[in-house]
Amino acid sequence: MSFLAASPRRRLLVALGAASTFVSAAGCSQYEGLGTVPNMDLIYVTAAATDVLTEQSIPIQQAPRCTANSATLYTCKGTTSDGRAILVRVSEANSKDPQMTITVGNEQIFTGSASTVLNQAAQATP
Amino acid sequence: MSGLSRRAFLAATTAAAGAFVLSPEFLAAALAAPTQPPDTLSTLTQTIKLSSKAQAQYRILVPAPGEPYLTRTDLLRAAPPAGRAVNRRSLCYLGHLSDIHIIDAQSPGRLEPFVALSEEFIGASRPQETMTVQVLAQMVASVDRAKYSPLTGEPMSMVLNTGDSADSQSNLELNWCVDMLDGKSVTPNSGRTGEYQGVQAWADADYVFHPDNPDLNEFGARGFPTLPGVLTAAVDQVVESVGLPVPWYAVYGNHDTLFLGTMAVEPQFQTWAIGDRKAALWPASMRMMASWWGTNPSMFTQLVNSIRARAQVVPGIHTVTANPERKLFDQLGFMQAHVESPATPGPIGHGFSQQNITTGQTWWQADVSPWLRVFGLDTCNQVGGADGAVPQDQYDWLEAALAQTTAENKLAVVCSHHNSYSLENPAEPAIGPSQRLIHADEFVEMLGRYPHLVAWVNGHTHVNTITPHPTADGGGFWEITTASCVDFPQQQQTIEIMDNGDGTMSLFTTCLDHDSPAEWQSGDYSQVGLGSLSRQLAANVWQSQPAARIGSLLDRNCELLMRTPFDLAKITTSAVQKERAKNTARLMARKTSADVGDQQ
Repeated sequence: MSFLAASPRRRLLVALGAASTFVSAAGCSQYEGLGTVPNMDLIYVTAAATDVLTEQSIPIQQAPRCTANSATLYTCKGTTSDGRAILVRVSEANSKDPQMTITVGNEQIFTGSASTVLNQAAQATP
Repeated sequence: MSGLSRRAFLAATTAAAGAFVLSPEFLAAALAAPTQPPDTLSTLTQTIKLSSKAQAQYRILVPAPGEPYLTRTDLLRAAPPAGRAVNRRSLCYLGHLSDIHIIDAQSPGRLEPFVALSEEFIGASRPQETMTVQVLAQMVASVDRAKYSPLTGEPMSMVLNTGDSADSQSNLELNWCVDMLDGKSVTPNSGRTGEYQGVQAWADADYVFHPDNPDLNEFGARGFPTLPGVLTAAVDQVVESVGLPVPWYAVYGNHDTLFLGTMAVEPQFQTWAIGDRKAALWPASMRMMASWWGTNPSMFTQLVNSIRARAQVVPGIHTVTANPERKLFDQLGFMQAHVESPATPGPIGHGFSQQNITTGQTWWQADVSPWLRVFGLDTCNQVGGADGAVPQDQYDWLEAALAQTTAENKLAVVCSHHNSYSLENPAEPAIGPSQRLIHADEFVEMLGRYPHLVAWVNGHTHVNTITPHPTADGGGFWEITTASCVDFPQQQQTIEIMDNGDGTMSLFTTCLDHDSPAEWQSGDYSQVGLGSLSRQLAANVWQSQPAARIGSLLDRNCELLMRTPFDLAKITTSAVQKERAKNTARLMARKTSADVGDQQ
């Protein structure tokens, strides 16, 4: 049966179904439509990790680039100007507040919340 | 590299002056003076940050120290060459706008009730959504203030607008955007004069910010201010724009392609957008969608629905002033609006031509100087979804064009709406012709094969982001993503391409705050004041993670180093000086004509 040939009640149901489909599609889709881009967390974690490194005056040659190893685990890699490896690990990345562990060479220089880093960076110094 | 002889200098000056109806002596005097960075405010000298103190959870914005350029060596893979600034010369200084998101907040053609479903949908109704035209006018003023490079004093040559000019695919939104960029004035009221008709004034829409009564919902608990009369003030004032000082180019964004940037709509939806019924509640939205979706064939059913709606039997449907200008534009309409835009600041079509309209080709290329070619892509998906992709035909066209650009020894800049984080849309039409969609990894790999491409400039995610794309041969290109005008930090940017004269080049990115002060003065509903207020509200929209959108320090004011793709000495100093004369003459002519206008 075609959509237009359907009864008004059926058309309403079909339309509601289509709209619901749209809602669910948008829900797992992207912010700049209506929902949230899956990769936004990657962007935010990259920014937070970079801010930690610059805050600690780590000389960066290649800023960390983050990739999603799985839905819940991100890894970001970069290098310092003196050749040390930068490694950022994020577990439970899709949580509301991803926790980062940042290692430069063999030294762990940071562990904590990506959101806290970003919020502090956006705030004026008291 | 050889410069212009005195005779050639005079000839170039006379030609440039003639093109812009200026006195050659006037122009020659300006060009003879050494270029100096202008002594104007920029993010190099002052930034805007959230106050460390909050009222409830609400923070005002305050001025903060400037951010000097930080050097990035990701592509060079070596220490920055010492002395590279000594023989440096500017090859292009441009502005970059993106994600302007002009919103006609009174239009029925929106879906604000989505916000009630999830915080993720805050983009369906932002607290600051009535002030987008003011913000754009203030951003245009900021670009105008930055028309001479803060680094070198060189004149700006063009602005790239990388999409999402309109928010809800409304013809009015698009026209308001184009008018602001062109320097016209706009009264952003699509309804009745002296009144705001929309969800922020309707108590049953208890999921959005209500400026007259924030305590209606969580916004009040979070310290959002009471702003009596602000909605009417925002929509009912004449917004003046100085206009962009230079030619501007545009590409499609997903909001210029799909309804709310996400879904394709049938022509029947037009009746919704231009009608006199606006839904404040989700059931009402669904009811209206269903009603129009069905193209109701029954006179009886139409009559019943009409009576029900007028009697407000369906809760949440409000009467608003109908306006046929709110019609949704289609793919052709977007290009048409740009082609019909005035010749100044130009260029006519802003990248699109009559041929684009005839053929339906939605991408373009332009030689913006003798040595720089810009490619404007359409990465938007006509089927659905906010993310983008590059269709095979456009991909093939771009690759051939990049090969040609390489053969001609020109530099290339690609601009698109989507970035490499958001190029994964798989949606192909269920019916009709289709073609392969190219996604981020394959697209980036292709771009990397053409070393003359120095930058991919884009937007979409509303976050300042700079991403290096190195290649195995030691080259690569920079991807530069700017934030938006609608979400915090309401920043855009300028980019300057520099030849360091030592086998390296630098791209300098400088963030632009719009021209309203950091601090909003309570009760200031002027154009300037609403710009400040909009930014402050945006900074407190917790649902959109505002603090994260400024990006890191390495995403903002930066020097991006890279190897030159060819011997840039082939771009003669003489040619550079001629371009400088042309660009300076354009800015001077504009100033002269503005002065005349002021006197009249």
